[in-house]
Amino acid sequence: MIWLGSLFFFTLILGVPIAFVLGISGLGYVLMTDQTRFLVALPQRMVAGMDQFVLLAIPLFVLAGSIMDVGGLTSRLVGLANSVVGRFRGGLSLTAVWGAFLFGGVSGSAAADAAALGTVLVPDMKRQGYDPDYSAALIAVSSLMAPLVPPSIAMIIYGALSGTSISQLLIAGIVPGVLLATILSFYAIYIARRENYPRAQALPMAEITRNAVQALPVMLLPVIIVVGIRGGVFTATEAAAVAAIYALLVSGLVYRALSWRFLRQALLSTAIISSAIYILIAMANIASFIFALEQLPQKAVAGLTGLTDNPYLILLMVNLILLVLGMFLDTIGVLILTVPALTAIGTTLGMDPVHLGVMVVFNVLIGFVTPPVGLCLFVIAGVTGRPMELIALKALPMLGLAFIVLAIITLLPDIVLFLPRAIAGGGA
Amino acid sequence: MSTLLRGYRMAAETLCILGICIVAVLGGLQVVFRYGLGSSLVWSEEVMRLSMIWTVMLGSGLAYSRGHFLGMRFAVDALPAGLRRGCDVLAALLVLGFLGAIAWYGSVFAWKTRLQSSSTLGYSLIWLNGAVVIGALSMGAHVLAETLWGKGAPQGGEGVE
Amino acid sequence: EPVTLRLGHAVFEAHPNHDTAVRFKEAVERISAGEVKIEIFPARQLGDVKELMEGVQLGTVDMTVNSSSALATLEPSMDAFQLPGVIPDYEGFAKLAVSEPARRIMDTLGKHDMVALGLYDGGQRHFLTVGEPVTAMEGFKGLKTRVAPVKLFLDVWSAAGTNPTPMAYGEVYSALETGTLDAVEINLTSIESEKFFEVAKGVTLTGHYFWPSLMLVNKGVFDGLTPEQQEAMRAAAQEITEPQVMAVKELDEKVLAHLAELKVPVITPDASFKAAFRDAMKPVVERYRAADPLIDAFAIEAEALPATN
Ligand code: NA
Ligand code: NA
Repeated sequence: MIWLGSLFFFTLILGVPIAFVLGISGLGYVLMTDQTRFLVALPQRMVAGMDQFVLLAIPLFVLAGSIMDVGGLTSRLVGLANSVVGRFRGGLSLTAVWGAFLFGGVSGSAAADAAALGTVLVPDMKRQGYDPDYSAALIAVSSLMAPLVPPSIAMIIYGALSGTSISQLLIAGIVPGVLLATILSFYAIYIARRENYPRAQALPMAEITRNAVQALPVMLLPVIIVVGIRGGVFTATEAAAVAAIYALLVSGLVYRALSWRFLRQALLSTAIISSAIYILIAMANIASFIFALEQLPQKAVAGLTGLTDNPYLILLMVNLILLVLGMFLDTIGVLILTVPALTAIGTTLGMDPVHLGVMVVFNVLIGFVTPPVGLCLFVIAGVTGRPMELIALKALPMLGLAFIVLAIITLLPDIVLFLPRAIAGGGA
Repeated sequence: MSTLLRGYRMAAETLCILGICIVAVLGGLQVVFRYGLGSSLVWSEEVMRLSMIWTVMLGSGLAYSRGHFLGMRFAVDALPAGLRRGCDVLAALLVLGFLGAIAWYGSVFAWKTRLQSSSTLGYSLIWLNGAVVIGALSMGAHVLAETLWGKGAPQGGEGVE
Repeated sequence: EPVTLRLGHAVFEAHPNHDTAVRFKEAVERISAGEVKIEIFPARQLGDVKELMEGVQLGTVDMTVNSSSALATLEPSMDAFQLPGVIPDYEGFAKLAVSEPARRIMDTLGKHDMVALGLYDGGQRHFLTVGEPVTAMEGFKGLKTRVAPVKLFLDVWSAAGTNPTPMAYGEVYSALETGTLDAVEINLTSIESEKFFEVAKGVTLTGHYFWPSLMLVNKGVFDGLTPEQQEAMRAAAQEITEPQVMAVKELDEKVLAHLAELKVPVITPDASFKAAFRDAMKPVVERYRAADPLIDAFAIEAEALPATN
């Protein structure tokens, strides 16, 4: 245990990539505790972690997103959002929030959302006199909606790790996504009033319609996913393949924006991005084997429930632990390390597994925009060329708002569950 | 040498692209056969998983070189250049040691389970389990190359999720 | 010197395989007077079915209770235990599990570094449908039926006329709910524990095969025990066989009572349906019997059982 912990923190501080931090700690533990018969379990756990059918949704949703992006989708979505909310004070900042929401409907990944919208919107916002760090921070926090609105890589991984229904998790993320978008909109309006940011000209109806028609094929994707799963045409995993093929048809036939070169690029970046995610899952499967040998999940549950039997206090502590882990580790890493213990706690508290999953995923997503290790902060700082610390500072009040949403979805399960119950039937 | 490297990169990239194509096409066909034709494919899932594992094993080295493996760099980046280099080399050695162990014990694992056959197509599972050996070796080669000739340890790249 | 063995399995604690593990633990700790202790790791803590099997082979897991269908990827003769209609009922299962032909099949695992201590049951399989229960052979026609992707099961369910559809177990509930699947072949206790009765509305008691599991120990670990400890292991494994199998039968009766309470239609096939099903299975059974003398010997042993009902 001591070996495991010290190797973990040593390699983490040393800047070793998180995936290898997990692997090296696992190897070190086996060697230091003189349990060399477990050495051969390390590669075995890697293969077993990756060899799961449900995980195939990851490359397929990444592929759908990259193909759509090649098809000039970002500007179309931004155009649509702008034609609806641009007329209000701070119109462009509202466009950022709802553009991120729409983009979330085709992308399962917050980093992709932040990169795409940051590239398109931050220069415009700067021109209109917005504070660039505020703009970057707003986009970074808004990008958390991508893994909430289906499709969502984070939900797929949670479902695969915990055995929770992925179709239900995907649908259950929609309401928290809308909540976040709404609360961020109010904040953007408040800031716009205070800083006197401009409103955009209201567009004529004809142009709004034109923008909507242009964006329609893109916005149909989440609808196709939900309807197709609900209608028994395909499973959640197959939905990802359908999404990728649909994206190919839309970009190629409708938008005529696809060349062989772009397609090759989209396929290759899909393979490379998915490889990094898969390796992380493989390494975490090593870590979870060692946790199981040491019976850590059971000990964690016993520890927490030994402190108090008040379910709200336990949930508060769970959320605090996840937030702290999310500051330092990446989303998938936190999920993989904690899901076994979390599902045990959920069972002890009698929580609905879908509710628990959405709460955990939302919490872990917040880690994307918390320093020192926050993927969306990295991405948006890279795209805008602004220092990460300044962006993080401007993101602080918005993080407070995200915590409010987290509190709402933690304390009011029905807000999360009514949609999957209505759409996906009685299972939730 | 550079021709060899270019050839390797081209081959790895092409195989990765092929792997993703197989996953996407079979995923679509699976729906067509079950929902459209009423006669489910029984082997497609197995092939999709196999194809993805090989894609990952060939793609993870490329991913490492492109900076897709994020680490917590703020402590190391605060150090003076010389010390930082030392830390990066130490980190690389630890990663290489780990990958070496995975390659070695991965081959023990693949060999000992070679008599197990896949459940629908019946091929020997050495074709599945052996991938981890190739993956560890290829990642190791990339880590070594980046440490010796690269721009140092990977920074936050294009990101994953 | 007392030893503690880690036993991992892949099911939740309501499943009969967990009961097998618990019974074995109690028996071996009592018989060996504490010289052999068992630590149970339920619910995939040490890995899923395939990993646990490999783990026992490689020695990274001491013991497991694992389904025979998984072991068929190593030793095809394991299919004997799941040929449709060969094991007639629970009473027959309990007798056949300790028979000589079963022992010979289990001993083939020796060359994969495993010792099979005994054969137990995970529950007889029946046919669960989203729509009306199936009342005749024609009712199977074209039903998208979830089966584990194993050659024997694909052969069986193609021969029955269904459209066998492999699917990850975790996706089955929502697939039944949305109509991606029409049916699933499943044991009664899983209908109960996975709440499949909420989304599927009919059960046909086909009882087509059982879901046997083997208690496995890594060979190196077993050989490292003292002769007394080994003897205690074997005695415990033998002792619990009949009570374990009959406990599953009782469990099935409880589930049936609960399904009746829930007003889920449950159909017992009539004689002509049974005969038609047997006829449809005949070519499959004969093909597997002809392919392996160990399978044939087991089937002959089963045929020689005295009729119980
Ligand atoms: Na999304
Ligand atoms: Na963070």
